[in-house]
Amino acid sequence: MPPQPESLKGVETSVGGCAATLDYDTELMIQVREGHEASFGLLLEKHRSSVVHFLYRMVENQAVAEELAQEVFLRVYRSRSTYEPTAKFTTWLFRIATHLALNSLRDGKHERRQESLDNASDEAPSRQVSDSRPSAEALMVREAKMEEVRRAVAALPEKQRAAVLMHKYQEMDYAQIAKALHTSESAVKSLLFRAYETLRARLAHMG
Amino acid sequence: MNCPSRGRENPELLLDYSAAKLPRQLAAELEAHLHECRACSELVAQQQAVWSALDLLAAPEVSATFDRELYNRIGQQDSWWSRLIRPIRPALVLWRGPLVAATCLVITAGIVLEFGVPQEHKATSVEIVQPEQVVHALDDIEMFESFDHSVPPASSIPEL
Ligand SMILES: [Zn+2]
Repeated sequence: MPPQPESLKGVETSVGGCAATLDYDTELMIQVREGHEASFGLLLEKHRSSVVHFLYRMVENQAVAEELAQEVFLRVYRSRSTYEPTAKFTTWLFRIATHLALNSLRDGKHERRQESLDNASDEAPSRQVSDSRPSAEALMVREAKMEEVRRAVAALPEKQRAAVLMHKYQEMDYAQIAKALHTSESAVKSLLFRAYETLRARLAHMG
Repeated sequence: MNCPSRGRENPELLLDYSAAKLPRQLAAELEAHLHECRACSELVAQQQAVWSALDLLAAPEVSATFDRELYNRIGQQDSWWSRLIRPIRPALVLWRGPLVAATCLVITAGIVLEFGVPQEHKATSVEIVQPEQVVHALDDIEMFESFDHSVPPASSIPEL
């Protein structure tokens, strides 16, 4: 029986009392393993946005990002019975997400860079009419900067991009990123150093 | 402190400092170095600019239907057969390689038995499709197994 969001509130109290030898997410996942399926809802609630956002920044397509994110959580749920807390839950979660994102990019099954950002840039002129002139200009400058950042990140090789996204937005440490990318810590440091070197060349003038 | 940008011993020091992730003591040591090293202070200024610029990389809101669709998929996939195999799933995970190879053999044998020596156009389609499917399956397994080296199979990339 799939977990239902309505039943989450009762679980929150019982889970909240757990002693924290393991991190909270791992505790929740162990509860999911033991049949407490509503704990899955708590994990979903907590990590839904970060997983979708990570995947969106990887594949640049909202529909594909959400499809992949659903597959990530589906895999988490389906593997609950064999789950062992050998790594931090988020490391495992982003390992699955990274694996799926890299596969999806490799297969090239989708168009990158679709509607949402295009719409955002289309919206700028219409806002210009109603907004006062300085804030409309500020908005356009901001849109242009966003686009520049987007292009710079999108131009990074896929593994470098994944490493930067986990380092910057998920605040994962080198060891966690290494596990997620199935590589060594020194390789991750080198990936990040090269990625930031490229980004500095393209974006440092924005400071 | 050795110069982290010249020596390249600990280049991550500059990244961590720029992201405000460095422990206070180490940050103080690095700051002392930054006062006297132009290369490092320039790199830090640029890296901090990149760090702030990355804050601009927005991602859209998650669709309101996300959870509902996910629970639907879970409901569909968590079917009777998966409940049936759940108790033996760990064994299946362990033996997935031999199992897939055996399945491929059985399918191939089945096709040969069913069609005998196939007509030319049938043989062509079998030869084109089948290796791809096998390669895909083996590729997946290889991928999962490579992940398994650092984390035990049970907690690695779960298969669907
Ligand atoms: Zn220096």
